Amino acid sequence: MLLSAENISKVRLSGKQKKKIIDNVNFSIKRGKIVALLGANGAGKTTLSSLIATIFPPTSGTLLFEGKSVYRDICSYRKAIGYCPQKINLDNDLSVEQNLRYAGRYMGLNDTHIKQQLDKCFELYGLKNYTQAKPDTLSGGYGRRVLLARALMHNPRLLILDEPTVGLDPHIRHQLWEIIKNLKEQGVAIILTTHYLDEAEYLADRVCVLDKGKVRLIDTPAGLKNTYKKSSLEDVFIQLLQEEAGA
Amino acid sequence: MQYKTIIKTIYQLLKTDLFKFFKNTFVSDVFNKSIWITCSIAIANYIWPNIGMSESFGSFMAIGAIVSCIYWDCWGVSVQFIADLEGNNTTQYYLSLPIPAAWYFVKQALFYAIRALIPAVCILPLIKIILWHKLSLAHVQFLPFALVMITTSFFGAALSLFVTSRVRDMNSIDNISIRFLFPLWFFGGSQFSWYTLLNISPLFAKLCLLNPLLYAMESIRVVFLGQEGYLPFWTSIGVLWLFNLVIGIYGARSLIKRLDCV
Repeated sequence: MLLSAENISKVRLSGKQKKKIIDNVNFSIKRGKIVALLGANGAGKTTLSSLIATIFPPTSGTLLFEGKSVYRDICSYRKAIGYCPQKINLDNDLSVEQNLRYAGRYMGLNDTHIKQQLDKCFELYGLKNYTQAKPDTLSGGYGRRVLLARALMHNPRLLILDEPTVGLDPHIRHQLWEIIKNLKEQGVAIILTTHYLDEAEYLADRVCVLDKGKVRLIDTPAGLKNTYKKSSLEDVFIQLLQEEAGA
Repeated sequence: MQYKTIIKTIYQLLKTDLFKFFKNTFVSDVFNKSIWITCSIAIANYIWPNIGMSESFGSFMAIGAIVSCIYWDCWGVSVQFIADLEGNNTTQYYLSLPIPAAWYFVKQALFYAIRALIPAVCILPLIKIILWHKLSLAHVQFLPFALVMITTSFFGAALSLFVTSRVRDMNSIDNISIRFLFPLWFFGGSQFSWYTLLNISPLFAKLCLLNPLLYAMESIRVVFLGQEGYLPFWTSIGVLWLFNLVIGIYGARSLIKRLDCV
């Protein structure tokens, strides 16, 4: 097992009250697999992916990477993961090339390796014409590509993608799907947070449905469709929402 | 803990910060500070003596203005940091790099100190040109000068972390300057020496000893104007480092708590 979350909880203060945003979550992911985190708005998808990316610490529970707590050696863990947040947080004072070059340096790559990675990223993500552009002049689609390239500069073993295709045109979404599929084939484990059920159905090996911070279901897309006797993941999700509303 | 990785990451982050600083900010920063220094020295040196102030007040103010430049830098730094948190949030990216959050804020303090120190040193020739024979640099020794500049720059850095941790959002950013930074500056010896205050009000003078800016002002004046009439140099430097540590650690810890980072 590459990564496993054991009884992860996150409590935040909402006004004067404590609110459990993530409630005793357990799940795991193997090398070369994609787990999609699904859920309605406020279900805790982004918080959970941020916890896995060690942006926030959990209030309780353990996050194990190859059997060891990630907090025992956070530097090594962060070198092994790539995190692509929902919001494009590239450095607008730097060009696209500088954003990627410096990302490589922060991760300890030498200049030769950085050059190789830059060439690969520019080619793979169609960024050749934008190397000197400032990120805030790019369209949303290209901004996301740069964000993905930055997360992959150091060849991470685990990639955390938080809503990577939100707000993108359908053809760009499909291009990104192919990139994600290729990464999976290269053995990268991917945690994918998404609102798009077709995306989860196409990409994910397993789907983890979150509801009010708890794992409601975790299964393969085919398994979920069989259990609920539905033809698509979207129908399964609608039924889950109806069950929740009726409960 | 992987100290080698942490040091390498800090080094690379500092390099990026300095690259951006020299490319985008440095020239306009020196220019802005030059305007401020020119105006304040011109008034203190050429106008105020005509309304009864001492002839030496221009050089007294000019030396204090170097510290003031470093001091007020914390304001710009805080605005930038809060604007980033509310906007692009590149801070979140930097906090996801292979470096624990506490070390990231050590790096921030180092950068804030360097970015305050370099323009402050650059405006020294301008001060000499404006004051010319009224400011003698003949007796200024390099080591005490370097020490006081470095100590004051780290005070600016520590204060930047502290101020940033106290600003809730962009809407409340003015409050901290008016309610905290201005009183600290006015009563921090920017326009008077501590012994002058002691003669006027011993109680208030003793209260002002809690203001770290006072030690920066007094120690830099010792370097340029001599020890007489100011707090002992080494005491000022020692107390200022103590304040630097307390304010810096408090600020960094508050930011880590507020950003809920690891």
